Amino acid sequence: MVNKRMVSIIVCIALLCCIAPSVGAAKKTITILQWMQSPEAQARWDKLMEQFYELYPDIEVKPIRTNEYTIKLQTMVASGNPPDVAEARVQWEYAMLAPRGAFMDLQPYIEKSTVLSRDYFFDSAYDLFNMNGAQLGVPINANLTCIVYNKDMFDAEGLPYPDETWTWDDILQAALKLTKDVDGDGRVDQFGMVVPTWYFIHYLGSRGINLFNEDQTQFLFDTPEAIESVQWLADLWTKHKVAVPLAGAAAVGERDVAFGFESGKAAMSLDGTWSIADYAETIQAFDWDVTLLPLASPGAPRIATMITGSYVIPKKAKYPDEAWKLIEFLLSPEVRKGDVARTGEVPAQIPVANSAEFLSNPLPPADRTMWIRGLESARFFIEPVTVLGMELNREINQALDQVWIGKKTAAEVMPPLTKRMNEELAKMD
Amino acid sequence: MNKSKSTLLHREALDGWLYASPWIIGFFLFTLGPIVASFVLAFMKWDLVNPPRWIGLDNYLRMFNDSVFWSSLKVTAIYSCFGVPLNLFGSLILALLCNQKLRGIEIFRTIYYLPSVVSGVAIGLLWKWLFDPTFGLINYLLSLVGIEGPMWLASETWALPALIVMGLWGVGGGMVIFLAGLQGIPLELYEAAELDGANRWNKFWQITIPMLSPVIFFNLIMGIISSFQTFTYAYVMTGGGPNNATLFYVLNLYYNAFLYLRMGYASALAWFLFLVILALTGLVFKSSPMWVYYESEVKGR
Repeated sequence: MVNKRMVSIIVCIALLCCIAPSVGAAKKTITILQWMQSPEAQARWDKLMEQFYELYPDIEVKPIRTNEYTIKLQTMVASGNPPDVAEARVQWEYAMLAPRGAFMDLQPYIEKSTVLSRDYFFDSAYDLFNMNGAQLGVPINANLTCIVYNKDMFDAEGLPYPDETWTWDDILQAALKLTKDVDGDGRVDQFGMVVPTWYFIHYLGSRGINLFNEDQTQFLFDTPEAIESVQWLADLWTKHKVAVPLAGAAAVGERDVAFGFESGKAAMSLDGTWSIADYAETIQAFDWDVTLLPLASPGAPRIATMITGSYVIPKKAKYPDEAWKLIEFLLSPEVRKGDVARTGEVPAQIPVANSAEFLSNPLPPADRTMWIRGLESARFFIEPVTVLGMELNREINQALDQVWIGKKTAAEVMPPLTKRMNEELAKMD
Repeated sequence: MNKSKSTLLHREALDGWLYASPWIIGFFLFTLGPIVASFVLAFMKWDLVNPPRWIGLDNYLRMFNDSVFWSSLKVTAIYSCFGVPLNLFGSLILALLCNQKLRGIEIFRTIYYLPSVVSGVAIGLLWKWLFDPTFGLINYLLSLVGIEGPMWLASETWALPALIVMGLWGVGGGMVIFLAGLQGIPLELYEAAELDGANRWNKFWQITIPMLSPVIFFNLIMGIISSFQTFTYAYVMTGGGPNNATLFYVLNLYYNAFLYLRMGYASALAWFLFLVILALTGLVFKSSPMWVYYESEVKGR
């Protein structure tokens, strides 16, 4: 009997101990959905959060980390239990969920904020997250497309390095010289470049070709310029044979492209600033550098293309006010300067891009004002996926596969494809 | 006497349920709910964000006008037609070889079984490199004998055959089951046959195959089910391309559910696949009295 009573007393005490901390501090726990991170990045995050807790002792931040970001976010939103803060890339999570009304309008917060204002961001990045007057996200970065090149290979051929005066034709001429059979076994083992097939959007963009009209009611993929441009890219594989052959339709992921360049199979990579920090870590065997995408023709205006991500607050977030405080903190000049000092990303915040931390980052290029020049001319070209959705986008890519592997020409594939897409577009509201 | 026997039976039944309970609890907690939900969702339109809306049979009707659906069904059928028999023969032959009384045969068994334990994604990535048209091992070996290998995964013609061939990587799993079956065949049968003057060939066809037929039956059923559910390799290696040449049924289902956010349609696809597999396994079951022999069975029914 005594035993029993003692046990119940101990249990009661134990239960009280469990409840006590949550009663004592009325902390609000907000969640943020993050990409899986390296241990170093996690350590940095923990440090950042220490600073955050000093500012807001009554908020606790719980990161949820995943490698299947898009699907995880979708599922969390669908279950009615979304994270309080999420990252949304303009052509992926944002394109999929923003039109369905999954994100809050942040305009009221921005109007009151002393840290984040419209002028704080590059217009080109900020405006991408505005939908019918509602600001559904605030941009984190404005990653630019670029060309990464293997300096050793250029030196071996006695070629000058690509620079901001180069045109696409200059790139092709260099690639022709850089494609060769180095070990003399009759098989080409060094290619001029490695090209991901999805890069066609950026190649067309750098030539100023819009895939949609102003109000996004017409898909303009059958114009002579668009057809000619897609064919030019396809010729890199099929006619000139200067690009690393496609290993498979899905083998055009960033990792495969990166591998083509890292392993010294290709002299140039059509790439983006998102790859630079990785290259700096993995490439030891040769010297490399980076430059902006080439010009369409000599003296043509430069157009850099951009891929950007933003912070969003899902509509059903439990603590939107606290979530906004976290976003304000993460995008503040101090925190962002710390970010850009150690990563290869290009910030979407003007003062951060002009800061010493960003400009003196040791990652290539040596002259990092190049990115600011790029940003000034940067544009985001509406991608098919954003307007047409994932399914039609997949259909476009599957049809273009035939062009990339030389089974059909761009002129055969693109007009009927465009006609079909416009029929689908007309059915949408 | 009688009473204690019935309590024993009772105890045994209870034990049985207890042993099966992890699966039963798991089934009711985690599987039954989603099954029921997907059945209901198949009659609804749901994009995960907005509330589901009842649309009756539209999802099923839509399937028949969806060219991607038909092409995915065709791709999966071709894959199964070639892949299932190939795997069955491969694992049977391997099992026969590994059933020889040789010193160190266990090592061979382990080696052949090992690939089946490796994760699907890792295998996919490995084979992607083997199939690489320029730097891959396969085309390199072909070039040694003067053949210019195809583009494999980048070719509409060769992508599916490439995946079928690579499916043989998993024959070790079937081999283990066949081995167990082979070792369960009583040696007396062979001895008796030898006395009657049977040669190896006779013994194989008259004893081994009939005695193994329940195992063949099992492996065939499992092979059909798993090949209709093929997903990982195509997802990792080809994304269903080029030009949908490797868009398997379940991959299309996955895209509909998680990329196009059409949960209702994807649920309907899942149920249709269930019916297809049910029909096929039903056919195999129906045919089984003609070719499957059980030891306890009296012949000639």
